[in-house]
Amino acid sequence: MFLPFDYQSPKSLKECLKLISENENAHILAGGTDLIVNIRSGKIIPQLVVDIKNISELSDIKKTDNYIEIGSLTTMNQITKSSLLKGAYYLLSYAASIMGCYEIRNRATIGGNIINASPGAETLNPLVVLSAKVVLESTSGQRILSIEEFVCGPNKTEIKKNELLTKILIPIVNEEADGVYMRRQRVKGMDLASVNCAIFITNKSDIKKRKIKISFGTVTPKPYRPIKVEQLLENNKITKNLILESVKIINSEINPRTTSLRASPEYKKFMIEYFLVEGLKKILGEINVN
Amino acid sequence: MKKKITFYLNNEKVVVKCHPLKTLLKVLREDLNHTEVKNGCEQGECGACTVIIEDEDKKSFATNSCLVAIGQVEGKKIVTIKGLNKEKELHPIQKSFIDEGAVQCGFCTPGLILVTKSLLDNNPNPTDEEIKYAISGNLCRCTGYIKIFAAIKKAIKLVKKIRNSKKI
Repeated sequence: MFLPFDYQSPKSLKECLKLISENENAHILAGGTDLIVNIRSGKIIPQLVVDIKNISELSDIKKTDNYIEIGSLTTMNQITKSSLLKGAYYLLSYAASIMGCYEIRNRATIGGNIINASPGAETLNPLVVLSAKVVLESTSGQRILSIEEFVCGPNKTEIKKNELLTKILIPIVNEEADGVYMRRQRVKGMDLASVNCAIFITNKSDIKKRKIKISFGTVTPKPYRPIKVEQLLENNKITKNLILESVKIINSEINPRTTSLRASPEYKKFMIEYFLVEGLKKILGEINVN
Repeated sequence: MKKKITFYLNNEKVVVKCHPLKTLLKVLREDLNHTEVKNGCEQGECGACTVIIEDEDKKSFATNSCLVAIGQVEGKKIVTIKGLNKEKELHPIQKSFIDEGAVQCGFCTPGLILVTKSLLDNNPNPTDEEIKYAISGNLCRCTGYIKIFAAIKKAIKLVKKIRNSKKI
């Protein structure tokens, strides 16, 4: 590995923000499970690497009045084990628990997973359906964006050069709610998702008040929310015809790339119906779709 | 740009002078001659380079040393397979791997033994599913995993026996 660049490891957030505001070409190093691989392969040639792993204030999960706050340096295994991410939020810790392998989950951070913004990123779909927000801090203050606004496409987000992703906010749901995360991969062990999906439903037993959020991964460059389908499923009894209509709408809106190494567009489109039926069944109990 | 980095390798203090972004794997193999840490894929797929890292709050976890920048281990404790046995006496996990014939070419063995140790430290009674889940990041191209799995099952019993005898 060719190492011409500078390396800094600030101990506090303030020091880090100053450093990245003064150096436009800084690359942030957190868990390193993406950056170190990319530097070695020559994909990224940084001038300065800022190692944020020592900023301890960024690596815990806590509950405030309105949100569950997850520090951007929280590792996948910390998320898996967290007692705050149970019940309705379990889909996020489940997604974290199947990301990469055990050794990787001990290093990989949620912030890195978001910023890297892989189309099949494990945590993105659960975060989208949980209406999560990201907190971006710089020397001039902070901005809060919804995860849907924040992620633009593979490796692309709305983050500015002088900003650091510090926290992920998950709104606390007071109503009855439940969610599910599903993925398909080529092998049972360690693999990236070929296609994945998250569904989150609030007020599930009251058809009039029911709210449904759905997000699919790898079918468009960023997490895809079929808003028309959500509305269609929200206040109607779920029947086979409704599912078929939903699949039709989704397939007319998505355009999976043909060059994907993991699954063909046909397979991804085929999986949409399976995910919809299985996901809704898991949350709502038995539904009659035959 | 070189930096002095101090850490503890198998309970011995070591000081290296190198670029802080050189990977822990390269430092161990090239600068410190610890070639028991194997270099497989260098991108976190194969698990051959697994080491155990213990941080300041005594939390220890197995991870891929090819993905850790040496600057990130300042002050931390690293355990490689060499740090597992006490002088000539093998660790019970090492013994079980030998007894069950779970070693063929041996390239994946250091990683598998360390990930097993990390698993048993955190969970002394793992289920079959939990064992499979824990070793899913370690590839073995010889054994087909059956013997490795048997060795881990044996190691669980052995470790438990030793722990119980120490209690008395």
